[in-house]
Amino acid sequence: MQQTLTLHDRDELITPLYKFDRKFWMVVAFLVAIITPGMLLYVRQLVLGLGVTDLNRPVFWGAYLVNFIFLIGISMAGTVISAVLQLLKVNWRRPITRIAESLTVFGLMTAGLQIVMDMGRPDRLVNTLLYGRLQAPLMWDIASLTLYLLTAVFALYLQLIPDIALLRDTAPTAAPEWRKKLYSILSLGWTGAKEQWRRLEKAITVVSVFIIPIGISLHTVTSWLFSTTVQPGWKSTILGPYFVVGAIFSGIGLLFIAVSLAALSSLALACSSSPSHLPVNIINTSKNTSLKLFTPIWAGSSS
Amino acid sequence: MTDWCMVIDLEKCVACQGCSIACRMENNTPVVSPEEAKNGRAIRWNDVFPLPVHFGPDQGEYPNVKMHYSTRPCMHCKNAPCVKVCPVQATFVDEEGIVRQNYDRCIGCRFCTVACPYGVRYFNWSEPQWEETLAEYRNPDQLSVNGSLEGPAVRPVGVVEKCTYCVHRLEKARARAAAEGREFRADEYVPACVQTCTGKARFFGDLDDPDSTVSQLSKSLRATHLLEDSGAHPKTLYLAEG
Amino acid sequence: MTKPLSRRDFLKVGGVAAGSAAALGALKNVMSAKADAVIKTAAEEKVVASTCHLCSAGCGILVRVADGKAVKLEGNPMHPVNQGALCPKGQAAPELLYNPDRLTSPMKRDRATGQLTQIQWAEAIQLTADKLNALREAGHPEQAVLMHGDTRGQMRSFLTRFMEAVGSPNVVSHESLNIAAAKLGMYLTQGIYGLPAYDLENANYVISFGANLLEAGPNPQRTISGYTFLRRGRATRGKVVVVDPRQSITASKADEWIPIIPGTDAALALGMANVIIKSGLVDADFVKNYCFGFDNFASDGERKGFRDFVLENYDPIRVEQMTGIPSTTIARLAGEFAGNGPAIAIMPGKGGLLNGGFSGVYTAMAVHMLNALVGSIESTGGVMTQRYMPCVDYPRLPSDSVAAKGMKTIRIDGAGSKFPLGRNSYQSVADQILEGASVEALFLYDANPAFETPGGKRFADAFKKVPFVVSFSSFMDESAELADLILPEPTFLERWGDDHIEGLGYPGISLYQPVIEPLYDTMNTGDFFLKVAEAMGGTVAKAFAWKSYEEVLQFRLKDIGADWELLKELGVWFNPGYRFAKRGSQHWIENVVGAERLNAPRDGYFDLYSRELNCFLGEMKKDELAKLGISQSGDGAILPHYEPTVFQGDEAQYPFMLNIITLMSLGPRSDAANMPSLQEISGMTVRETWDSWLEMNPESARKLGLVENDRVKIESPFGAISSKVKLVAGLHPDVVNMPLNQGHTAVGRYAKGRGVNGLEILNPASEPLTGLAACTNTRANVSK
Repeated sequence: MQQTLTLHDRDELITPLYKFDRKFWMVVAFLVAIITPGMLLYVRQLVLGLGVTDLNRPVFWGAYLVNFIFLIGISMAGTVISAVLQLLKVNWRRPITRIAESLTVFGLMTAGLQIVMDMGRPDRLVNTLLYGRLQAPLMWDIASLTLYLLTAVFALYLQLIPDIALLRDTAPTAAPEWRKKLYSILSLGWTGAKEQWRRLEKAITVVSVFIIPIGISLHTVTSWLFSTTVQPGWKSTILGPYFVVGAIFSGIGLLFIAVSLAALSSLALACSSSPSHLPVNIINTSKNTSLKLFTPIWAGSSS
Repeated sequence: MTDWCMVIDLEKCVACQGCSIACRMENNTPVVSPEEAKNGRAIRWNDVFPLPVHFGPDQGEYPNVKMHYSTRPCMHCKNAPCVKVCPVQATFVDEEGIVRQNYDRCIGCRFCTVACPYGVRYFNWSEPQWEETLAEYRNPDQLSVNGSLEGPAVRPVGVVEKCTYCVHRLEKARARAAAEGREFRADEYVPACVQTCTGKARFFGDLDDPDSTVSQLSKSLRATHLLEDSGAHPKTLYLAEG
Repeated sequence: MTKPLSRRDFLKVGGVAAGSAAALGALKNVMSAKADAVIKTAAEEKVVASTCHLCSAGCGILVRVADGKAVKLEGNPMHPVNQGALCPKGQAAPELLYNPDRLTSPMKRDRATGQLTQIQWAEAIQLTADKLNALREAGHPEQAVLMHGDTRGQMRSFLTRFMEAVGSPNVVSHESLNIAAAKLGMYLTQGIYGLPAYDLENANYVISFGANLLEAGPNPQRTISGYTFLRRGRATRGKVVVVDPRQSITASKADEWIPIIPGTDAALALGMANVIIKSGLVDADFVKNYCFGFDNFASDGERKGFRDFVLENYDPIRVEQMTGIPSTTIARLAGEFAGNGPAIAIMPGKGGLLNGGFSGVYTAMAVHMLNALVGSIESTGGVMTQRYMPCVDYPRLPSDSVAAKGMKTIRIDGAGSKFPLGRNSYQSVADQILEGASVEALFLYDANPAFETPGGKRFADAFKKVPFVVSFSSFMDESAELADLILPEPTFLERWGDDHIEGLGYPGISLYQPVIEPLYDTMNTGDFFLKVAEAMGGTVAKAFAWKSYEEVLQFRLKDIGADWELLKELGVWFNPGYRFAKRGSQHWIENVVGAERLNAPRDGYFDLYSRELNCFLGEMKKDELAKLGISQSGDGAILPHYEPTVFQGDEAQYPFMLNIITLMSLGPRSDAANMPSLQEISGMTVRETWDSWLEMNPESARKLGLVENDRVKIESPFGAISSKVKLVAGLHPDVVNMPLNQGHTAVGRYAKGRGVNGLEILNPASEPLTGLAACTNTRANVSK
């Protein structure tokens, strides 16, 4: 039951993957303009040491760690939420899960980078493998983050298999050979057969079951990472639930922002491979509900 | 088994800060620029400070005021939080009860610095520098264990460093005893701060030896630890004032 | 068709991966537990015994020299002053030796352009010799002046001898800035011009009148050693009481802190004396048989003695009003002091003594008399008199009419003439020059008057009037910046020298020796003057027949009981064990009481009624005394009494009393301010670093709307500076303090521009009788 594409869809969805228009390059230029100074400043930090940050005694951890917490917080959104929706068999989940899981994967990747950037000796990162102590909270964090990232990537990949097959089948003849090959390998021989759909659904469900505890573990571990220190305000048992609730709260928040933006440009919904249109009022309703639900919980645990 | 321990008699301590500078000269801790120092980045493994650190109105008003001063090397905890949080075992308690630091392995995550209840762990925010000729006086000693730097030779930027009870002095004393073909005795080794203490307030020795000065002093009614409730089981002992 | 990975397979793979990672880590951990320690050190090591020169204590040091570099100083365990200990200044000494701002060669300054040119030592020697010869030929050798700082050991006598050979009596010590008041207090009572030594080790009760035993003072390390032994080094613990308007470290470590209204220490001491006399707790034998003037006596009529004077004037109830200390406390302190002997009363540091007028000396006398009342003079656990090693006398100076004439002239600083009781008046040299005294050559040895005197900036003007100013400083300090010739001396780690061991009573010599070859083209000032003498020729050359300063030391120290090689090896030689003189014995008369009186009889009587002072003030009328700032007349002026401080500045306009405190870390020497480690730790008590500050009582600050770290303007009648406020709860509300040795405008990169120098706005006057600096009587206003 492979889908067919209208000409309009093909223009909208496939062509931009092969032909990069001005708008695309402008976005790239904009992003490069942001990243380049950042990279240069990071090189400066590498050369001069972490002294270039305004960290000091006793504030040993600063913006990098805040970013880290923020990013893994919002990464909670994606996969856990899509997993919950998957398990509850909500049928309008598809367009959301794609966005949510992308947020997770990219969020986690950036979060991992934050840790590396925060290290005084990033060149010795490999020591964590060579001499790693599993008793150390940072190692739990590394393990948990890596596992969550891998699982999230896997979940996103599973969701994407039919799409990749679509790309494989709709590739223009002028397309580079390596891309055709890549799509062919990644689509794992997807034909859209009913049995394949059944197995995929099952696999996604299994991963969803896994990913919820892994996600929760990442947030509790990160909170314990703080509560094993003796800094005032950190050394507290409430930090576990506080982080989890905070993560769900902020994660959903970010998801709403992303989905709203997508809905505004009507791009995300249009490009979904299963076009069960998500009414905007559903977004609004659930946004209100979750805000009302989570704000008191989060505020409660933080006070 | 030897269990090295320091005892500080606060009644004899006169807050002269000789220990701070003796430590600096012995262990090659750099002088940081005035701006860095004001930003709380001075590296003095052994620091002297007023207590309470921030003297507020609730601590009394003139003339009913009593300032105190304390001095603080590493506590060499038996249940050291820094060791427990280190992801790469760059810091560890050795067989003789000294919390040591492997400067070649440390990844600079600064977890130990936030975990230490006593703030004795110092991060090299920038490349340690000695202006021009000042570099001449650096201690040439270099202790390496299994090829990894642990001694007073200058630590690179980005690693955490700390008081090691001058463990290189211990190794030097051992090497000397071995070279002279005799048994090493516990009184052949004291850290630099103990040696220089103007008030003779510091004592050092083997806590496991019931006859040593430190174990005798540890039985004193004045003997106490800094933040005994920290759960870290700090070892460095204080003899309280009064 | 690719089969998706089953759940079981996935778990299996994951488990194996995690397990092997853990095992690998564990294996590494096991491997690192087996220690294979390798200690590498310098190829060539030696330890050289020497003496520290960073404050006046003169601690023995053992310098570790590794591959020709002085890398670490330790205290010399043989040395009786520090007994193996070393304070932060001594520990940081390599920063002085290897300081990047050291002067590397002799230099000459062109006055017109201010340009410095490097010169050879031979030229410097010739210039100096020519100058001195020219002065001698003109018949005015006294126009050569030497100002020196804390110059001890043989260097002082050597320099004095050189100036004598040239023909100038003008060797001016900086003691009028600090310890001369205490020395005078000792002189006018006990008849010894010098600081007493205290047997702290055996004392039971010590009351310090503002002497910063643990931080500053003439010999901090000696008092620290004694103090800690007294507290916890022996079976019974002594009690320490500190009287001070500021809760210094000494006061906070003491058993009791007695906050007092500044400048009223004399009243407290006399109030205690009152109680001790009234309660019959005096050492009757001592005051009756070995003191002069306890009872009323007859001499040109009935004269009032100490007892009646104190009983009439210093009832604790009255003293309470003067000092702000409850009369019950005064009575208790007196009882404790007299009843728990051996007890020592320690004279104030400069803060309490240099408060203008003669009141500072009265204070020192009153405090020292407490020791006499309880018989603590020359007794175990009491006050000792410092003995010195016998040094071989210099050969007699060849007779020389020019020098003899020069030596008969009055001293430039007015000591002995303008200031009849004074022996040195360092800060007034500038005033004398500005008033027209003729100075043709000025040598600055170990001295930085442009910085370290109150209102030191006037030295800049004074130096302009002197055509030939020579500085021997190792650093380009404030005074060297104004000098014509800058002849850097090597640091104390690179030169020969010696020091008398002081503070323990018994005699000893501590040796400085070059622990490494001098780093730069510098010359020991002793060697320099030997060479100048040689170049001058004539009688001066004859008076200095030695080849080097090291030879001078060998000559002088021949009879100390250790030969030169042994002294070099040990770094110190002393005759331990203080022999207390029996009261009234020959030994007593020759060494302990009255031996150095110039006018009054040297009869071994401790003066409670100072006959020496009577020689100066006895004939004076009330109005003459009033001119000297003494409100009492007749016997009252001779007997120690409380003289209210005459402040500079109106109380309404300048509500605070400004005091300058010496820190343990930076100490008194200008070059120490250029040692970065010391700068870093300088403000420990107020959580400050690399800066000066103004200490203020929190309540006073609140009234002015100030909070910690506010920048304020500190204004006195003599100028205004600005610094940041630090709140210090243990401080009298009317007192503000600033640290000494910050606010340099020269010396080097670490010292320059660190805060402000509080001395700038202190009263630059000199006390009219003694020539002491009158600086702690300055009032100040603090505003945002």
